[in-house]
Amino acid sequence: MITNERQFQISKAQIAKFRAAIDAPDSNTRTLHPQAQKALREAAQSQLDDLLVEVADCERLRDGQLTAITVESIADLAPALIKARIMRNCTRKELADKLALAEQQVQRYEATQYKGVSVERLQAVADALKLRLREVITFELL
Amino acid sequence: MKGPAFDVIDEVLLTFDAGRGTQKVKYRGELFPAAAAADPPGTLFRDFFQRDRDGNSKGISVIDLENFA
Repeated sequence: MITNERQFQISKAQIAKFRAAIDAPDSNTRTLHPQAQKALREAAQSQLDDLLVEVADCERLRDGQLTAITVESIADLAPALIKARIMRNCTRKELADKLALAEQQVQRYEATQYKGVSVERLQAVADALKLRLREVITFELL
Repeated sequence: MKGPAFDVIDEVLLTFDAGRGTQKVKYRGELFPAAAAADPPGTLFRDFFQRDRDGNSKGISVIDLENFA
């Protein structure tokens, strides 16, 4: 997931590079076996598709059209908090300021997907982002 | 012609569908051609994977299959 402007710009630059590599393959690839050339082209296209999806997801989060995130498990809560920050157009620095933390601490939280962070801290992050969590817990049949 | 012997390579390793899903199902990983020109000025796929999302360098393990025994 793209989580900040720098990553967004790097991903867009990578898209341009992959597109260029697909449109105008390196001349030395012409000496390769046709199947190798095909593999190179399709591998590059596959990686390009990944990047396009990531950039599109980020743009969708930023454009403010989404109003809710559905999580299916507690493990999904961390990526949801990261997405919510992006949806709020809130930088890591701004979130850190609201939590009276150093920016690096928020960077660590997100880099580790909030690993080992207390429930109270997660709630504080949700509050800082003005999120309302509405939990629905359903019971599976035993 | 240079390159591997395609008549003995598992077709799955040459399948680059969305997210390399077919490769991941069979091999729990994905394979990219190391010599692929991911970047016209000369950066290879191998170099692409040596940068994280923030553009910082990161280490990877390269296995030389020709000399792997």
